[in-house]
Amino acid sequence: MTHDRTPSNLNLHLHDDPKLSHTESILDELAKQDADAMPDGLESRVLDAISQSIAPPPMSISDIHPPKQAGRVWSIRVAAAGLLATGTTLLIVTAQPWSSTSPHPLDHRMALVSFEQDMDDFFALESLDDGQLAEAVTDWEIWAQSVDTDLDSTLTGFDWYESTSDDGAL
Amino acid sequence: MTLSMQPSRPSAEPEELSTIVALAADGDESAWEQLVGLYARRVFAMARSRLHDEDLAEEITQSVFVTISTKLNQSAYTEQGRFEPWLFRITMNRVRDYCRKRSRHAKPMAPEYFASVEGQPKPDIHTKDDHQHQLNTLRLAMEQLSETDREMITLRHHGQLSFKQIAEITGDPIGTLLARHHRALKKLRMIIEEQANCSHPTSPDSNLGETS
Repeated sequence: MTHDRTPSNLNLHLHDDPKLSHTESILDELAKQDADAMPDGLESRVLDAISQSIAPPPMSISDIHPPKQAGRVWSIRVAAAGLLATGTTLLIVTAQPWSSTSPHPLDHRMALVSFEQDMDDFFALESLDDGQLAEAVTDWEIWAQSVDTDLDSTLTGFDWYESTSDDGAL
Repeated sequence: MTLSMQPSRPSAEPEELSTIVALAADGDESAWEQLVGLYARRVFAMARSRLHDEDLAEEITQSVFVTISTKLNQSAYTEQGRFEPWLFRITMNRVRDYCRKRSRHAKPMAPEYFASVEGQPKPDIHTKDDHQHQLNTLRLAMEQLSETDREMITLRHHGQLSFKQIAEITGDPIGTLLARHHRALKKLRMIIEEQANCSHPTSPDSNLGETS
């Protein structure tokens, strides 16, 4: 009979029938026979297999590496940073992004000269308008009225020809 | 209730077992020796009963314990008093895998095979060793059980698990397992009696039903 730690299972056990009880006892003995057939040394082989699965693999001499030095790591980082900075500087100098956004100093000088010329022209025109321009306009208006008067007197008494024919001939 | 033929089962109290498992998880060698001492025979017996091959049974035993050690080492198992169901669930699954591999090769199991099992005579019904004959007959009868019944029988008798522990493994209610166990025993008994009647047609009854 096998062990059964649960008391309720013992109460529920099935073996009122002695034949079934005997069958179960033979099953237990069959199990014992199977267990007794376990080869010698199996437990030690199992333990060996377990120790190999748990323990780290043995370290060979070729696996031994000198510990990494922090200074070497830092030198690599500094070299990488320097390389990055140099590359960035070269890129900026080559591209000259300022040439498209800010004027050249020569352009500054040309613009200043042009502005000064414009100011001179302004002041010259202003001096020209000092009374003389208004007087010229007045003279022109008087001349235009005289011409208009002469034209009216010339046209008085003139019969305008009106064509009655409609033949279209001129 | 017949309590004869009780297999010697090294056992540990649940609290003690929890301690052993915890120590084993930490890589304690003596704890592993205890665990292997407690369970290797039962794992081997279960595998041998199903596969009828000692080499395979040993292979499975090693594989099961390596799996256990790996899982414990990875903290993949949390001890909650269910170490035995866990161990034998792994065993059962491993045996199933081997059975599936074997079934792919479709190697039929002949009665002559059992004669080759170490320490067992050919299942001749006229053998003078009546007790051994009973064992051989029962072994043959087990082959006629369904896969589910056979698993339950081996978990119960080879794994020496309680019905509660078997219920934890299979997920079946205990009542279902008890009924299944009873039905399997009756079927085994019926097969044994049929074979006995065929062997001794003049005998009104064999002595298999009697306790010796």
